[in-house]
Amino acid sequence: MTDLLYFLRLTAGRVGWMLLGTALAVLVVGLGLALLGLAGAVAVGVLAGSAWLLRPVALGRSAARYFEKLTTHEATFRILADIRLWFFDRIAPLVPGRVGGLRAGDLLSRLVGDVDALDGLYIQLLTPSVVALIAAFALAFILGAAAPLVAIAVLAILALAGLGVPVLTERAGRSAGRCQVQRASDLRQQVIDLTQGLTDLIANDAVGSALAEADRASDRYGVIIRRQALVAAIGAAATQVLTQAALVCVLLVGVGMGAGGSGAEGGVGPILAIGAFVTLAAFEAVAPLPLAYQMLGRTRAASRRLREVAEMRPAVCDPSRAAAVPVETDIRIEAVRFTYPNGDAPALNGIDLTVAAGEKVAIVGPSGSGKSTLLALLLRFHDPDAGAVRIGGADLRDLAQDAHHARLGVLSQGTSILAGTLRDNLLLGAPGAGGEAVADALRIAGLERFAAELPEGLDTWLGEAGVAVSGGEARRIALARVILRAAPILLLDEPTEGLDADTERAVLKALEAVMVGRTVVMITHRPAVAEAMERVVRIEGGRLFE
Amino acid sequence: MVWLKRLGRGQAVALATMIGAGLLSAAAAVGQAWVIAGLIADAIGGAALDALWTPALAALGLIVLRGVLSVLSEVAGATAAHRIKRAVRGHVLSALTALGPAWFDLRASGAVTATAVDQVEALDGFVSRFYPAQILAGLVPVALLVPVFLVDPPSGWMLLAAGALTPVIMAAVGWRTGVHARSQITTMKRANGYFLDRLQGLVTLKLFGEIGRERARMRAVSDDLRRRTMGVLRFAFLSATALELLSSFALALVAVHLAGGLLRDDGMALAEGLFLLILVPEIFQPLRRLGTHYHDKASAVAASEAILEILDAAGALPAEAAPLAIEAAPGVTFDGVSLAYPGGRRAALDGVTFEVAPGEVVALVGESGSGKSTLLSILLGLRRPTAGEVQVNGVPVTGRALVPSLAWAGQRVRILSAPLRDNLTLGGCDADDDRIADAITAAALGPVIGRLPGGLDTMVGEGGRMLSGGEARRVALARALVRDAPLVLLDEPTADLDRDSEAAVLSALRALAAGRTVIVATHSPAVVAMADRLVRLEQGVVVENRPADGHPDD
Repeated sequence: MTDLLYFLRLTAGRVGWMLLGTALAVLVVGLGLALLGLAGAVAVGVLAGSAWLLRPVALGRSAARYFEKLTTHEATFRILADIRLWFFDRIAPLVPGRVGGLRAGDLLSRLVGDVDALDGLYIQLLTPSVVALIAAFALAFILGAAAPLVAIAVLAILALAGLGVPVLTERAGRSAGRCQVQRASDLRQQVIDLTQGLTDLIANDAVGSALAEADRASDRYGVIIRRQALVAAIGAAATQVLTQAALVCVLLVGVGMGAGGSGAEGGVGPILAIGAFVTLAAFEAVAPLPLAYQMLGRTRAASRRLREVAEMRPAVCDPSRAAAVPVETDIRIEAVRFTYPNGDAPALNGIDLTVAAGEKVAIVGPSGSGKSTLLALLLRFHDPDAGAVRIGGADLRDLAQDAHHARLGVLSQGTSILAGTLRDNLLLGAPGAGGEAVADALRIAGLERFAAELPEGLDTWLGEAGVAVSGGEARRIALARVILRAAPILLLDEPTEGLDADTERAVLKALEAVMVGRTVVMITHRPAVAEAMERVVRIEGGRLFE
Repeated sequence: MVWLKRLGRGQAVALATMIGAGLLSAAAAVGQAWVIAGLIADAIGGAALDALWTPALAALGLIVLRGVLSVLSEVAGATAAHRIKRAVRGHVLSALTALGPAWFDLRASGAVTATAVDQVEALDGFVSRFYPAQILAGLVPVALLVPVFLVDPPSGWMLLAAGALTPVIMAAVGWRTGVHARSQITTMKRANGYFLDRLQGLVTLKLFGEIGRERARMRAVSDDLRRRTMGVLRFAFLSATALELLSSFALALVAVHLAGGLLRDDGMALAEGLFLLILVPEIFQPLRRLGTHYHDKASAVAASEAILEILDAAGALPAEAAPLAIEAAPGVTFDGVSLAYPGGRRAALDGVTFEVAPGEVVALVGESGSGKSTLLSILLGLRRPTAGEVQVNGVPVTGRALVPSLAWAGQRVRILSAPLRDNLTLGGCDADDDRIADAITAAALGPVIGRLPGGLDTMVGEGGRMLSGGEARRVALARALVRDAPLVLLDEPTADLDRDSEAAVLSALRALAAGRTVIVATHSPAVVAMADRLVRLEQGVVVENRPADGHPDD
């Protein structure tokens, strides 16, 4: 239950919508009671003069139901959008330090599938529960005054339908719901793996086995959906049976009362008719409950999966009071030790390194030596276990991450081209840059011809579902981004990896112009690239050698 | 819609079960209404409790029967939907693999994922609910009108008139729903693709201080999705409301009419009047159900368009050529091969012509984007040249005919989360241990395996031991060795590797080259040095074709 309460708290901003939706739902049930009660009375000849009321009440009920559905759905979608943003806010600080291991497909499945699964919380669970409770009280009030025995009998059956059946469906749906969420995520992951790894699958003749695996995931998901449908069908049928049984019960108990002489002569008829119709209306209010409580398991599993990620502690946190970012750009790494959370050996073991402002230093070493870890500490993706990383004399731990990142220009092989126009991609991190600055950046990064050849120039859509960008072009776009960002510190991670010799030379030449007047740390395993720098330090086994 | 109905009819047993259960339930409803009406009339008429037990039990029996029938119908529907979804999803995925990576040039993979997962799921409502409801909506109300006419013709006419209005209402509401559902699905697919893209680029966004702005964009995307979904629902709910209203008015109409009749002493018996009143909601029930499930239909129709786009595209592909049987290292001829990407800014390949002799190692070099990978993808059958052809041993190759005879190692090595052994035998289960051992030695994987706790049976990949970039490359080369194919295609086998790893990969490469034809796209001078011939591409054109350094021109 704590999982659900946790998410209910997130809905606090939409209380107005939720209350409006619930009020309309209550109105619907109220008008339903009025309509059916009135119809019963009219049918047996009581209140025949009020027959004209039937039409406006019927119209009102339908209208209220329509607006109730609209309002509750509107509220739900607003709440889901809130939760989606909230989740995004939670994962942003976690990358790449914490959720680097979670696959994008898994995160997508949480961001889309699990957030959507929370719709059951308000629309299916909260509102119907409140409405059912109010309907039960109304029934007790109306029938209790006229025929207490009938009221007791009907309420007993109503409790069976509104409490007993939901408890059973909840139990049946509990593990199924968890399973459903997990299997939906598995299926999504299988499909993403299949589509993104298609080239390798085809080339290795492995399409058949991958399809078979996806089919198994599809089947497993389908089986659980089918099981949920079965439980839902039984729940709905049970409620239906109980509703009709309650009607019969009203008659028998009513007649029993009449036979016992407690009802006035001839007065049993109206009570029976009104009682029967009011009972129908009340049961209508509890009808959605079995399904709602069955889905509780799914909702709870989805919320648990969201919390799992949301409550991860970020690898690094902003200080409660951030220090001002110093103007100086000298880097001091002091006796730094660092072991990855799940690593067994330290990745960095007592590193000291000073880079003066404006100095250009290359860090070389074999893969796995700790180069990338050092860079990750400079980016503050992690904090050192011992020692400190200082820039301009300030410990990175005392700075706000955004402010720290704002003075960094980062170029690495991992830089993504986002789906969007070339302009969007260039202006990432420098939204205010003018046309001239963009043209300059394109020229320096050697992208002029590329941009000119694009069908719509700077407004051409790149990335997925757009113009495909080659590795070299992507690197140049990333370089142009860095140029536009005009950051005083450059961190370069294998900036020419994967490029052919010509492109490498061109990128290095462009970089040369960009590096002027900036403090630069570059990691590379290519001696030729390192030569372009003023100083080369070697790192091996987590230790530094000048 | 036609396709959807065909899917539904394909599950004949399930459909017959649902229809049969629905009709039987309608018959039981008549019986139940009759018994209960009699019960109420007797009760009001002052009958003793003892006389009521028999009809009460009969009513209960009918009530339980209807409950059982509805469960039966739901189970049949769910089973049919499960079968159909599984089959359609299988077709969609295998169509995607037939279309190959070329299909994704213009489409976001997040959106395609949404089609294969969510859109297929959207068929459920049509198959298990809307379609049987549609059939029953045509049968049950008509069947139930028969007893109404028998008891009281005027009531029958009133209900008939109300029922005749239903199709008009449905049609008026229906087409708007369809339009909105389509735009909602497009938005949903775009939103899915967008979220996946941003999750993959989250680190970049963070480093560039874009998280705040991204948040605003994400809200805008969510808001757009909400507005469009509400647009669909506004009309979908309207059809349900209209039918509910119609049902209420019909009830009121009949009630008032009966009240008039009952008040006259010569009028019908109370039991008959009550019977009609109880039956009215039952007559409208199938129509209301149809209204409730109307947006199931709208979503399914819109989803089927996205699904059929994929299935039709795959259906239009030329028939796959029979695999070429190649025993020894083949000769490969590129004859004026050209290829332009859809929406591309220039031809990726433009009249590429050169020959690879049997057993030769050819290094493809050139700036990234010059067409090297595209050329390899043609040999893999992933893309079809727009002009020219590729011949192997003089035979023109189309489609994926070469795949069984070639081994491939790409830039991004796909490590399965499976034991290392399975990763080596991928696609060749008949590989014997000797061949695996040889491949391990040649690819210098011995030390790597020595470090693994379970040797060859250690789980690697996701959820197992992660392999480093250099190790994964060597696994890919060992795979190619195990596969023992006469033609080997490699895309940047030494990129991202430090010098030690590169040396290990090069020695594996040498082992692989023996007795095979190798085409390798590379930037590495060391790889070029071990090649027999160098072919340089520039903007899709061959600008250099010469023996590699150290190999005399022959």
